[in-house]
Amino acid sequence: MPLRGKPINAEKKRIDQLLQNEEICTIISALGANFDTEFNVNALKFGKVIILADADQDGAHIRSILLTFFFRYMKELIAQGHLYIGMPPLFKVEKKDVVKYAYDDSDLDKIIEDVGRNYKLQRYKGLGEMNPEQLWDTTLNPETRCLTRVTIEDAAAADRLITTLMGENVDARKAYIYQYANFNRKDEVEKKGYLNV
Amino acid sequence: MSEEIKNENDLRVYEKTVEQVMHDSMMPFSEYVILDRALPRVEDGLKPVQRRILYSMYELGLTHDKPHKKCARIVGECLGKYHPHGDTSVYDALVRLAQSFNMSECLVDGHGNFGSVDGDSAAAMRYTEARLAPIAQEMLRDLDKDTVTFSLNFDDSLKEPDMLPGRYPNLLVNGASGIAVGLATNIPTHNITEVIDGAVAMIDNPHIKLDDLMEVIKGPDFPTGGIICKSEELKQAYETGKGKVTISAKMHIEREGDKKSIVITELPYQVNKSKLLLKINELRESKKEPYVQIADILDESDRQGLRATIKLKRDADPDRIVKLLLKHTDLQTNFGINMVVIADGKPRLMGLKEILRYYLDYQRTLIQRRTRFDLNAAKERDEILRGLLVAIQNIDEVIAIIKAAKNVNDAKDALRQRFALSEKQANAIVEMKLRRLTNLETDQIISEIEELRIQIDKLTKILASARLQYQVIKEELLDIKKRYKRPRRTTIMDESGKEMTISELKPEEAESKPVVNGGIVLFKNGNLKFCNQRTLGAGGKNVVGLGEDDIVKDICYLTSDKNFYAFTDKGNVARILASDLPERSWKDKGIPFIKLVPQADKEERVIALLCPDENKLTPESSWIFFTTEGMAKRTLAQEYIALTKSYFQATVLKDEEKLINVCEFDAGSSMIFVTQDGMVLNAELTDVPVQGRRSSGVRGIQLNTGDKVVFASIIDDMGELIVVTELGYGKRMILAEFDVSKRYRKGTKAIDTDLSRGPIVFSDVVKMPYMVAFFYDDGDSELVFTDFIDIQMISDIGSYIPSNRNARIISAGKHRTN
Repeated sequence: MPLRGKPINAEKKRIDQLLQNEEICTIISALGANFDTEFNVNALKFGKVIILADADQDGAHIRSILLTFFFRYMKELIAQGHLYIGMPPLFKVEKKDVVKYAYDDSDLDKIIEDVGRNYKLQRYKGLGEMNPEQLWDTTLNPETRCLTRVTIEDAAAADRLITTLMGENVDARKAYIYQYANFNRKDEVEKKGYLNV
Repeated sequence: MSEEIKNENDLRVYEKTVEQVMHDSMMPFSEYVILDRALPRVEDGLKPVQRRILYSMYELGLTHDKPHKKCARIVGECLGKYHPHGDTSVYDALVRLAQSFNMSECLVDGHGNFGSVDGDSAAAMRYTEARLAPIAQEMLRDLDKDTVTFSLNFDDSLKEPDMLPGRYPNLLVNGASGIAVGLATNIPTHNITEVIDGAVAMIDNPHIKLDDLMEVIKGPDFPTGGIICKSEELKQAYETGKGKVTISAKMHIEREGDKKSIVITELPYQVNKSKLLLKINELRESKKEPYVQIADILDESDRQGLRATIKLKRDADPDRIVKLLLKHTDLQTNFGINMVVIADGKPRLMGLKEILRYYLDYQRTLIQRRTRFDLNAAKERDEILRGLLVAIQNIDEVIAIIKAAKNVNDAKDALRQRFALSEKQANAIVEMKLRRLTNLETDQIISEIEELRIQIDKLTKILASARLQYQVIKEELLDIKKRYKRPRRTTIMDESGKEMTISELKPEEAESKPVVNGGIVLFKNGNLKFCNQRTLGAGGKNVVGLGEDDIVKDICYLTSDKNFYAFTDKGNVARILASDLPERSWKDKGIPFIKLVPQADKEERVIALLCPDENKLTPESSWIFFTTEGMAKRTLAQEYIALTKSYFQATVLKDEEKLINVCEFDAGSSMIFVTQDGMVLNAELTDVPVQGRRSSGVRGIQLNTGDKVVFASIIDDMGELIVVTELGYGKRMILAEFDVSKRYRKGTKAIDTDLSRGPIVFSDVVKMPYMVAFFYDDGDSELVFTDFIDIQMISDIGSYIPSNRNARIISAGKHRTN
């Protein structure tokens, strides 16, 4: 089921505003299990609900927004282990007729070591960059794909974090970001000589 | 996004808690938005998308001397090469760079519809065209000299600059605004002249106090003008990076008969005009006091500028309406300053000094890198030239060696052995053209080696000295300032002046006030007042303390219901209704021009008044303008009277040129010029052509270098010309003694202005004798009756006027005690 652009943030909107949003309504009706207090996990039309977003930072944002919605209005979906996150590959390494996909940076380093020099690198920013077959091979095919199941261990902690990251209180979010964000990321990469190839 | 239940057995399934997923998703997103999207870098003041647009345009060669290219092409180039995001985000960013109401200095020169201050968006990118604005080239200058670090683009196939050279402090000049995650930035725009002067002040004194720096960078300067107040809050914002500044619209009151209108000519930054007027209209329709007094709201803006009129009903109190409108609408807004930028790879809140400090540090690194690049290039060239020189001096041997060699490599090796040459030198020699062997070429090589030696020397010195590096930065900044300077657009008011814009204009008289006969008094300092006939007549008897404010420059007689025209030294003119000026007694001072015309420049001074007599006015009537540069310009009076604006350009002036007088043209008379160095020219008017309002006229007098006109006027041959020099020498001359000549001559020397006499400080044509007030540098002053100044021939040397010996005259003029 395709969604376009960034969905509405469930944490910042009232329920009636949410229901005016077409994408949210489509999700609810597609799952067929109602929502909020009426949510009935047994009525679910699917066994796995998989969020498949682009592998870039905006995709990460969309994932967070959707997860917030599911956590707030379909918590059982997660609690019962029906919510998954699909993992599209980040890189394609191509050398002559060898094609390999890497799902994260360490994967990539390994592959590059394997194939040696003179490779062609493609960094996937969006799902739209892949051909249908490629998408099937890398992301959709249950034989080969890679999924992450979302679980709830400490619901209270999850609740607090979502409030902090997605809620109205900017200062709390700022404090959290300053605590955990790694703004030296770039410099480290530079030290590795990555960008000065 | 969903999968059917039958696929039960996935091979690879990991587990993660909600918190982990949220954290792992939001952190990279936040870091990314903060570092790579919403915030500008302190070095060049650009966000990545802006930088990529400029760099794409630079690569497309879209400099200002080339024709515009379709925006779609630029957006495509930028998307495909560097910015893998939505095309609208790139196009919107490109459009903003070209909008003169958003940017203090537009970086992109757009062609076509780029949106308006009414909130209309730009035409689609397939219609609009763009190229780099001239100043964008200062952002990109030296990019090809290894001045900045380049990084690989998103697919590792190309390189893009991490930052642009930014040869002027673009962050402060063009400001920035953006919302990241948990962080936002809002930096106001500034005046480029002030910011460069500020940066130079920081170079001259790295420990400059904020107060002193703020004497140079006085505050934000918005491209849309408006008025801001000098306040503690502003200083705090510059100190800490966070604070606010209040911006109000520029307004004045106009009258038509007994009805008044509030005229808005400038809006606060980023206020949408049509929304604002709709809001005012809503207030009007609410029928609440005092808005019920609004009769109509008209948007009279056109290509020339912004003008919206709020027409009021007969009994309305404009003062009260303005006050409430400022409160209830966006005629007054707050700009929340929050100067968050990326520096050292982190988001940081910075004050004004810190921003400039970072900028200068960056420029220093840049100059070091550029110098190193130039130095290497010069050394390489030097090496090759020296090799060539050796070859030319030993040409026969060189040819013998080359002829004897089996192949090129052999030849090179043999040459290197014989003459101790480097690889590069040997290479250059075998590739040398035969024409290098002429005498002329040899000389050229020698002189080029000499030039290179000087250059290498200079560059080496720069690399070794921080002082010299800052010197280079300073020179190059000042050069940019020279080419791109512009006057401030936002007026800064003292805190005390907060309320003064409009309330001063409040009519003190009742609506049915009778028409009063009187005159407008113009003081030498440019202030104005209205006096009735009786006061003007009785003036002479009432002598109060002599001050510079007592110097009357002109009195123009009219009735209080008439308009008069006040011309300023900056070449502007304001049409003012006489009764807009409060009626004052003889001993009262005048009120400053800026209080009458808030949109005027603070330093602008009225230098002449005209009140055309409607009965005598014909379509052919014209006015003549005189400037310090000796220009004379004649323009039809109708051009000024017919214009609906009440404050506008009257004539075109050059940089330092000032308007000194405006007269009604009279074909039967001539014009006289008196210069600082004592030259006097009486020239005929017949070949001064009628020109348009926006012209600068023809040459009236030919000036020697450095000289300027101090007095110019239309004369008939009645009366006398008075000249007085700085050290007190003066005389009266009969006007008829000056022969009328063609214009653009040098004229005759009418008085010596050597060191013992000084330049001319006062000159006037006298028909009725009056008192001249002299102010001396020792604080003393005195009045001299014009009839007591000796009448002498043009060739006479003049006599000493002051009773006080050894003092310099610092100011002189007609005293108001007639």
